[in-house]
Amino acid sequence: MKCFSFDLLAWSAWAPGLETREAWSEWALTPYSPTGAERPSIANVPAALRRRCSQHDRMVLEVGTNCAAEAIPGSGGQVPPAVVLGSRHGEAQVTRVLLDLLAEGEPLSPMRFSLSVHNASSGLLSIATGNKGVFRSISASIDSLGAAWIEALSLLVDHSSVLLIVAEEEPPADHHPYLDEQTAAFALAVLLGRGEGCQLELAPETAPLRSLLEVQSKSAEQPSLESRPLPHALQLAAWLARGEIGEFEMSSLNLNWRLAKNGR
Amino acid sequence: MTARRGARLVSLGMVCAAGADRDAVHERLRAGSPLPEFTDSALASGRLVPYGMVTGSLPEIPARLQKYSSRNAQLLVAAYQQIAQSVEEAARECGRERVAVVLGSSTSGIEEGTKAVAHARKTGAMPAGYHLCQQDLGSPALFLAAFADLHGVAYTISSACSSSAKAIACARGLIELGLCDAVVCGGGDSYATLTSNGFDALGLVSDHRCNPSSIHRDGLNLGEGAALFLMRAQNGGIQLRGVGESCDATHFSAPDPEGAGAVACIQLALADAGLLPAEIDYINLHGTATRQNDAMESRALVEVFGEGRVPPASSTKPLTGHTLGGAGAIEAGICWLTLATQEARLPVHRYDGEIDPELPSIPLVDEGQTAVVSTVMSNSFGFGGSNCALIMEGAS
Repeated sequence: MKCFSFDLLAWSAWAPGLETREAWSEWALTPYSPTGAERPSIANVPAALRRRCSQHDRMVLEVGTNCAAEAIPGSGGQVPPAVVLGSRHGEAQVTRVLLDLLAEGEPLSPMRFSLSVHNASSGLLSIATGNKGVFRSISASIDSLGAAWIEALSLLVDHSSVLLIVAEEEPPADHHPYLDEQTAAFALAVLLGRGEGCQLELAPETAPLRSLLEVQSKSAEQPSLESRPLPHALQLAAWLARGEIGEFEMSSLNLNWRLAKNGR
Repeated sequence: MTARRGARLVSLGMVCAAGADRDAVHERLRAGSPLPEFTDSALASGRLVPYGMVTGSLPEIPARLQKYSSRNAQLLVAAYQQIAQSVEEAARECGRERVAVVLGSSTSGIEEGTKAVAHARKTGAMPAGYHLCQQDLGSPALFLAAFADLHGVAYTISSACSSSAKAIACARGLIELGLCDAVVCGGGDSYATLTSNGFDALGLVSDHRCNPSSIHRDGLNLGEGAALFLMRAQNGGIQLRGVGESCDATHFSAPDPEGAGAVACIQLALADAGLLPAEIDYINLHGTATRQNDAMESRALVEVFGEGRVPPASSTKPLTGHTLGGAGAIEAGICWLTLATQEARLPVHRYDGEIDPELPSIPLVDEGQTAVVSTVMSNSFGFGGSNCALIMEGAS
């Protein structure tokens, strides 16, 4: 088992219909999967940049800058020079527009193509905040929070604070039969700092490894979308919004995760 | 900063247009070797352009992992087979749960997804053999971990053309963190209609073999391929000595013309390695042969190393094509081969020999040029202004 200590300096979340801390607190009593096409306004981002942003990009910019601003009031949302972004689906919606154009034999927009890469949102966050630091864009299916978190711990070795962001748009409808968790539109940012405020235990999974259980999945055998679990990052948002009481647990990357605040 | 653990690059497997395996690629780097054939690739715009395709047959994906089946996964298996023995040895010594997989890719199996969307638009349903896991960006690492039965953490870095260079940097971070003792790291990108036509839309694709640093350069050739290393927490052998990462924060698809982001990541890599610029013996350029990249990169190198003090440098893109998310690992692989050989030969800069006089002068490696090489650098610059420099050191 490995243990890591760090401080949870701040967090920020955004989802359609969940735009304030109060809304998240209420949501956390009976968490559900937020969906919808609404987008955060990101009014502080220059218009020329803002109009190129997908919902995914806007949510990343919203929670990234809000989280940094909450940690250091008056900082204007200066994001630390170490940022990790985890997402399973990334720019799946932008990509789908391009695939539809290809299927029609239509030319691709160069701007839209450049913004279809997985690191488009982190690139936009760096441009919007003038941040020239280390940005890592991660994907690991349903374990994308876990993978991004491990990268954040890794960057904490050389950086005093690291901004961890997980964001998902709802993927295109014909992807849904292949998913093993609920679809949702949301973003969560957590600012980690060096310190002893929290302890995370990572223990090897004792249950059979997921990779050993894998069988060729058929959509007909999948449980209904509603009965599938919430994405890990929404489970974490619920723990944060409930006031970080007790332990946050998840199973991710063949590891059992237990996170708790120290001194409670 | 705590003392670093060793990050030994124990073994290398690779496949790309330059060769079907590590030895074939090494042979291709030899002075006088013919350029590999590139395949004519048709674009939606009607252009026919050279593409660095892997032309040989590729291994089949086992039935139990069919949901991950893609050309990208096949390229990874072809590279993995070349390091499988050393990975098994590490797994025996450290335990399978102590071996991680961190790969970089920008395409995953998006070509399979592209075909599925075209099929669905005609028939109203995704094809029977399709699964989202074929194109998920996390799949390259998750697939390879399942294929190789490795139980450590597994995830994919996707930051366009710096993806697999960053994956190698992240692998060292995992070892530093003590979360594993060995990492299968690197990555790969496979042929994709989406990226071919996207780069065409950006006006970055050449009609001819790419011509880096030449006055006649007019764009890049795309390519596909994969390269994988086994990295272990050991001293000795070939070491990953330093990494530097930065963001331009200027533009998403074009590099900062002043090269400030490139300068920053190279300086960070040197500082991380604890080396002076004069201690670098060879640089593998990002060298895409676009007007902008080559101008920016030459400027950045002269700024970091000083005028007349840039070490011998070459772009190997004319041998491989620009393999995007796979390029960082493939070029780190070329550096590894250069360090592993006792022959002291450097990868030749293949172009028409007519250097662009507008470019700040850097010494491009000539045919047959030799040098004692113990420390090398590889640069990667990607969309989103994402930059990564790696420094590797040979056995002393």
